[in-house]
Amino acid sequence: MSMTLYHGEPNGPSFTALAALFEKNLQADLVRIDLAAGARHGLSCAQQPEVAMSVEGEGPVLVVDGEGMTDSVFIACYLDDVGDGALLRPSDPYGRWETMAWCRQMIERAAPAAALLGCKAHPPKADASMLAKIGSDDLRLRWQEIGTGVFADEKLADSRLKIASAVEKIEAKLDGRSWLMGEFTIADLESYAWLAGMVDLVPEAFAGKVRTAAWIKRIKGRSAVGSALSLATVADPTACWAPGPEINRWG
Amino acid sequence: MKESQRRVAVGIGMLEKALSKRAWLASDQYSLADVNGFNLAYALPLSQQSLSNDELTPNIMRWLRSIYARPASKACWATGRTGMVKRVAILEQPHIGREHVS
Repeated sequence: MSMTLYHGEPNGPSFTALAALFEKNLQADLVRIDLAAGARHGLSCAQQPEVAMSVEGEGPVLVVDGEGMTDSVFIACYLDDVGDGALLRPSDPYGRWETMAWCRQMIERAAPAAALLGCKAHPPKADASMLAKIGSDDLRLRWQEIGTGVFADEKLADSRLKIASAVEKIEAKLDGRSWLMGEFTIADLESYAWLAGMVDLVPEAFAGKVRTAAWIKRIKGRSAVGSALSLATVADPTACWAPGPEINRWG
Repeated sequence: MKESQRRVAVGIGMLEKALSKRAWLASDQYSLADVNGFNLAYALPLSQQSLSNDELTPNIMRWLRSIYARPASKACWATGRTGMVKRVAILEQPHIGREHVS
């Protein structure tokens, strides 16, 4: 089996995929690409529908025997299936449902908000030739909107609210437990992935959240997470952002 | 509405292309992808007649009819108590073509 993981800095979706790879003791060719410059769209697999139409925005791509896979939670599920080590999803059906439902909340609520706030604070920049290669019209539009440097106040306020809401959920879930689902799962990786960079950008959301602060420390203390973070080529990978999932168009 | 219509058209094109390569959406096996896809797509021949019909999207129509014919789908629709359930009866028609477009 030939496995290549094209990834950005270990933040957001790239963090989830990298950390899951290391948690599962898997070997893959690791190829760093500049997601913040739209480099994913220059890959040979970029126009495969599953890559071009990824709802995650600018995330990593796992290529196995020529087939490209996107969307970090589902990449992590794949790695969980093929790798060794402890399961990254609970083995009981309800636990699995809860994990995936939690991740969906992160993907659809927290991630678009984090990406918007992250891109405002640390703007990505793709040139026109790269933008022209983007297969998804709505992703290209997100790039163009970010490129204007204009961010609507209501979108920013809504995004901060969604980050605060995600942190509140985490704080509540960690009552009496070390990990979100009781055992360590993809839910921990995905939640950390999108929220680690929000500690500086939305500090009020984290104020007084002692369980969340301790959970962040626990995650950073994991060996696999350390391996993922060690791939950073910048001092602070949580300051690296690219357009993420689309903000829900309705509601 | 314009953007929604654009996305529906793109989705129909992708769906037809995928179903021209294999019997079911995600693989050669019926899966949750088909269940969820049917949930979203069963009304296409009604709501998007000019884009999805037996002439333009024969694979989508074949796929919708195959799922509709499954006993589990029938059982599911049989629980319906509103007129919504009648909409899917269009999949019992042997041919849905562009001539139905008003």
